[in-house]
Amino acid sequence: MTAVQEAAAATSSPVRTVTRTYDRARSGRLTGRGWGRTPQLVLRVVAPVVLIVLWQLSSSRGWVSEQTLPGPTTILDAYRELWQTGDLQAALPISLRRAGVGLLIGGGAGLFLGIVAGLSVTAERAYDAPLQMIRTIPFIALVPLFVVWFGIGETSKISLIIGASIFPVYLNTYHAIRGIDRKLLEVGRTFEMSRWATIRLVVVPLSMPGILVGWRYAAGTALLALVAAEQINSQAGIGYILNTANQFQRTDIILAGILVYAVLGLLVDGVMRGLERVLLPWRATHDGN
Amino acid sequence: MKKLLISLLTAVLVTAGLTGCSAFGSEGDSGGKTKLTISYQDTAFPALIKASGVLDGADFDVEWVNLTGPAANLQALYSGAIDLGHMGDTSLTIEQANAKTEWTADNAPLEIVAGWRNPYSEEYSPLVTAVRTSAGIDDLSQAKGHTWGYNFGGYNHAQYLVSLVKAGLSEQDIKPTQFADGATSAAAFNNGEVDVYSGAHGAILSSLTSGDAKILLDDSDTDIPALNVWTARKDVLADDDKNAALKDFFSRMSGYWAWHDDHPDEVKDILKKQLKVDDARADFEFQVRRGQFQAFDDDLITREQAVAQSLFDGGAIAKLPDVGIGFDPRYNEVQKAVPDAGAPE
Repeated sequence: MTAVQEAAAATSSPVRTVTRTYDRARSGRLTGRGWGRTPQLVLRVVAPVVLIVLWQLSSSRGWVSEQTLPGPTTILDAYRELWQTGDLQAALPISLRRAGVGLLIGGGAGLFLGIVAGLSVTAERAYDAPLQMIRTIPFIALVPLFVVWFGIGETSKISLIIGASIFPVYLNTYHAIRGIDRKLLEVGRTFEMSRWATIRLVVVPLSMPGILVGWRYAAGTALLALVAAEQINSQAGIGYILNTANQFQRTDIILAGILVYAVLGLLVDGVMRGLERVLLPWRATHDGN
Repeated sequence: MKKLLISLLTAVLVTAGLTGCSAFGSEGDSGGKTKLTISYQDTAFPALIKASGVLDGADFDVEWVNLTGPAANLQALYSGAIDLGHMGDTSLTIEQANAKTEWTADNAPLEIVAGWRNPYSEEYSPLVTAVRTSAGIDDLSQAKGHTWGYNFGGYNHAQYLVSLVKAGLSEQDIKPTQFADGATSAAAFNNGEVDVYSGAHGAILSSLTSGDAKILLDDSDTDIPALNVWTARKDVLADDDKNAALKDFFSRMSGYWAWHDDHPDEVKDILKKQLKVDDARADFEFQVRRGQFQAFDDDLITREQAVAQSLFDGGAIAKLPDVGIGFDPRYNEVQKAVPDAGAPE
């Protein structure tokens, strides 16, 4: 931990106070004593299991028609069908590649723009207002325009995901940098740190939590944009499977596709949380207790 | 000055990045061959055409594109992304009626160059008006006060408006329920959310076979041609190479229908694989996707004009277009197009 990080941790007095009543986990997270780990895990597992059992019962007992809400076993059959035809195996890498490339380019652009706007008033004045305007446009409304601008190939799909991924990273990066305590920057100046050293030792460590939150948001948004993007001339991908199922009213496949998106969302969020822990090991957080 | 440079550098990098992205995934050329980019609203028909082999050995390449709904096809046509867009025969009528500049034979940007449908059959009519049996409606005039689902534009909308006229009702007499697309409208009907439905027959097949719904009118009752059509941009038709390729394409495609009829099992397997439909729906789709190209003769134009009149009278379009402007019969001969495929046998 750098001297500045220690200083930052020291200025955060509420955290110092609560460490007396909470155990510090190895990861740096604070765990409450009121609930043990096992009951919490049980609680996590029981709720979805009960939900799935009720869902299956309502379907098999005919409380809800299969067309309205197919049961879990029907959805498993849909997965089996998609797997046997090879559609699911073909769709996943294509969809992930689209979302990944869009997220990397969009998130990278958002990061760059956010850093520059955060560090430079001139840059902020140059493009912050237009970006704030553009970010309020729902990206789904842009689908027809993207077809006109970028055609119907991969370009329009990736561009849509880029457009959706830029803003969460940009906003969080910009605000994370601007939110750094002025006193810490003054400490840097007092020690006659160069601008580069200030960025490396003060700005980057202190803005990193905000930046990573931006990337987490952007990862989720990229998956949302993927659904819209894959409605443009898709012949493979999860969006294509959903679109065809919607046209021919295969509710079971629609739900199967939605669940794939949900699992992808969870996985991506898990990866981003993991990154947070790796990149910010010094940062003490609490778990809500 | 330093800050200004940073800003300028940022702008340049963003522009370069976005421009670079636009090159991502751009399609290559066809090695000197003319390439036709042709859209269809699902992936089954391209797969069937490929299986039929009618395009094998052609001097042109075809890139198949999957665009759902007429709006996406029209956008892709206008942007030059495709050469032929797939839609219903009424879509261009609505496009023409909504155009800022009045279409003439000279300035019309788009033209329908091919239309097809299955021979008329009560069992396999593409377009129906149906009621939920639980609604207790035996005659459409009894639909008064009931919910009626349809989707805006296209021949589903025309079926709805003409059905109302046939029933002796107006929109004030019923509870019209407009949906964004045909699939959603059908889903609402299948789920019992609306009592009456005008739209695609295949989409409500499950309700019909289970006895939850029955058909009261089909497209022969409403005299709606219900054609699938391919629409081209005028500049594509004016391009000699594309025109020659399209001529050859349609000539070859005229041989597709016989292959379709002769290979029912192969066709149904492809339909099931591509569309993920069950056996009953595959049987239906096999039948409803049979057919021949339809000649763009005076009789068809008169029927299309009558549909436009119904859309105009029903308020779906603000002005009444001359629909003949949107039909170009230049390929009818090579298509071996037949008159009036939709007429009852």
